[in-house]
Amino acid sequence: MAALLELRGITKRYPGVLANDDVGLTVAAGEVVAVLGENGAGKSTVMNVIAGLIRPDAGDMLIDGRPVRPRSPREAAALGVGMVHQHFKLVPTMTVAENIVLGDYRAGRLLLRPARNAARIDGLCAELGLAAAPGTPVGDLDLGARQKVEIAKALFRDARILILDEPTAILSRQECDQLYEIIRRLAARGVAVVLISHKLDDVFAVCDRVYVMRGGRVVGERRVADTARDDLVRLVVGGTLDLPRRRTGAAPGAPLVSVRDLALRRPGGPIVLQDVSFDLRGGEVLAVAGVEGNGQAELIEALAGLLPPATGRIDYGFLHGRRPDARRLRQGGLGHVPGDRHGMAVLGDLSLEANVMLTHFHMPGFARAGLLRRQPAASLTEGLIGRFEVRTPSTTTAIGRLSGGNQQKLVVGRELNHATRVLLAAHPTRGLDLRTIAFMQGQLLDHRDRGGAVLLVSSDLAEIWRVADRVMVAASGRLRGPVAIDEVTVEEVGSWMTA
Amino acid sequence: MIDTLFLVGLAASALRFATPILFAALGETMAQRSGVLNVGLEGIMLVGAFAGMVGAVWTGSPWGGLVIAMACGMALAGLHALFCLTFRVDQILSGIALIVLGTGLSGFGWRLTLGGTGTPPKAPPFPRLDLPGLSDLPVVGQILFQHQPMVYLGIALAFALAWFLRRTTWGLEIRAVGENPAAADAAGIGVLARRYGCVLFGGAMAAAGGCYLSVSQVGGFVENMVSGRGFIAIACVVFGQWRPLRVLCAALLFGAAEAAQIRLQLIAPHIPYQLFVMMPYVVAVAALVVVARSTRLPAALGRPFVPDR
Repeated sequence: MAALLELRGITKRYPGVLANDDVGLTVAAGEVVAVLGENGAGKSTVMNVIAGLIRPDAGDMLIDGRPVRPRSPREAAALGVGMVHQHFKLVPTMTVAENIVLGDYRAGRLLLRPARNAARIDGLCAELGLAAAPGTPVGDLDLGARQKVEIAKALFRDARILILDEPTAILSRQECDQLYEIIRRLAARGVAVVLISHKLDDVFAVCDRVYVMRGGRVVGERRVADTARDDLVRLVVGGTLDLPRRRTGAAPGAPLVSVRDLALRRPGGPIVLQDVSFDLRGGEVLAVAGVEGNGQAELIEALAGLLPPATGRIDYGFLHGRRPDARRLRQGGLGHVPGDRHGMAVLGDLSLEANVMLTHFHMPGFARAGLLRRQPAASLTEGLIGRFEVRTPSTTTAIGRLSGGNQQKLVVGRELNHATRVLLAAHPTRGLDLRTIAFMQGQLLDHRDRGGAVLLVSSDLAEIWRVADRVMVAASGRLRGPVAIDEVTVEEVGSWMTA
Repeated sequence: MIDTLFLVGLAASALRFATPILFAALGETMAQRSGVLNVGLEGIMLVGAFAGMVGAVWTGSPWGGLVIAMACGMALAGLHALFCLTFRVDQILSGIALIVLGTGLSGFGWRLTLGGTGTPPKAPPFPRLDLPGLSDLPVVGQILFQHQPMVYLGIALAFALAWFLRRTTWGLEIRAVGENPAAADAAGIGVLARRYGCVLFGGAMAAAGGCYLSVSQVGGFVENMVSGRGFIAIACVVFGQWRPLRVLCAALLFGAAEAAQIRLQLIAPHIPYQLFVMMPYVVAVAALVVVARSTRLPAALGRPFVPDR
């Protein structure tokens, strides 16, 4: 097959980092190619070079065998390159149709000509299985539908090369299957698809070939059909991956948190979860499975002392009857890794050190007579950076400048540091690469083995089976379980989730 | 009969009082829709009032004054755009600087030019433009069609901008730039170019409003003569929910408040006039309280755009 898109010797150097080192790849029309690698492997740089967002220091890009050098997204689009960004580039207040035509000359020279494009947009929506009418504001759509709008936008511009950046990161299982189906159909139509991902599932579901990147270089290229999963994992992490193992046999300790007849609601909202009763014991990982949005976020907030129960009670053994509030709970040894990192866990403009200080200033040693003491926070931050392999220029860098994975490592480290008893963790490994996920899961298990309790909210059943001792399922306003993980099957829990 | 005359006069003067606010508010609407907040309208209007007056006297035509005022307004707005868009200075800070700068420039400039000559010469006013047929209608004609051209222009501009934002590609792009500049950038739209354009347009319109105020409405320049209309114009944009036709309604409301307070001063001389002078501002505060809850401003308003490359 002749290559539609070819990269040769792409090299891009940033101060102190070689982001891409002699990267080459080819994609033929109708082929689906994955670029697989961990965070920081150089996948985004490759993608941005193709999309015209980054100009490489060296190397060539060829389309149809002719050298091209797109200098902007617009020039790339004119060459037939369409890009579906991980964080969608859509205007929520504008309609589906407006978003699709935005910035394209076919929208009309000066006057908008909605009628002229209507048939084409309807056709694209039908092809992609987008149920929403073209006049619907994009802000009203769910994430899966928004992604389809992004794809429609690229196809409207006659994209022959479609780049998808981590497209399945935010999709549910069903939405993933739909997306795979769309990708197969587009490939059958002759579109060349480049799928940037760190998920092996994506590779095995739709891809013909896979390039594996590590440290800015392409370390391997395989035909997916002839490749075993383990082989790919070894390539991605550059060695074998030590998956953490749950050590069985240890008897769980006394209940640290007892929840009885709890019902929860957001202020002014409806009841989202009711009739909740369970004990969280020292030395166990208790998982909450379920489709997101079934009250898991409220449960974690209630346990962290941030959301007062509508009815029922939560007793914390270690508070000795004192009224629970977020500060007392933290001082009593509770850590909280929120699911909404940007909203609740970090302040992006502040330094790593300040972000560590945020949850520690009321701990002994970090402040004296109301004055913050920098030294303990600085050395704690140094320690966390070392132990959790946070990649950062310094402890005084604004945390918002780090990658999401590195921010998350610092947050988990910070919370584990004072979670001497209970760790509440909502989706602690979401969006992280394989090696970091394994590391995080290991940390949760270590905490459990030290006698601590972990309440883990996760939508990844594989993760739950790896680390949890017991599992509960949140569905239609109630919690099912808890049951010991050895006494149920993945299928049973999966069916409870949708019951 | 006196009541009819009174009301007709009130309505007609409401239109005249609304015009300077309307121009400034429509210009600000465009700037804000593109994501740039310009709180310096007051300063630009003052410079427009001063430059319009001087220009009208020098060129011997109010239109000459208008052109010069708009050029000066664009220069000031260009400064705001340069600081906010290119150097990414805080938009509020730059706007406040603009108020101070405009106040100083207009007052000082006035004394250097016409203000230093004893009795300042009178500027030629805009002629009244009667529309044949329409102006002779009873009541309606007197209210709507016996005005100077800028009154008509202001109303026409509101309709034109509403159409522009809805129906043209540039309008779509400006809305996108103000809502999600990263999305606009990814779609190949020049974010900074659109924003520069809108801010410059806003400056020209604010200065045009100032020019109408001095050349036509007052017939002379006095230091600080804009006296808060620039802020009222910003309130109009919010009250009008960033939509030109609603902004027009808001400006008319404030024009009516202004026209009413002057008449009330005459009708009720025993009440301290300061109470009436407050009226437009009380209306502004009340109006903002009413809409504040339901307001959804352009999502990227006030935030500098940093391309991710």
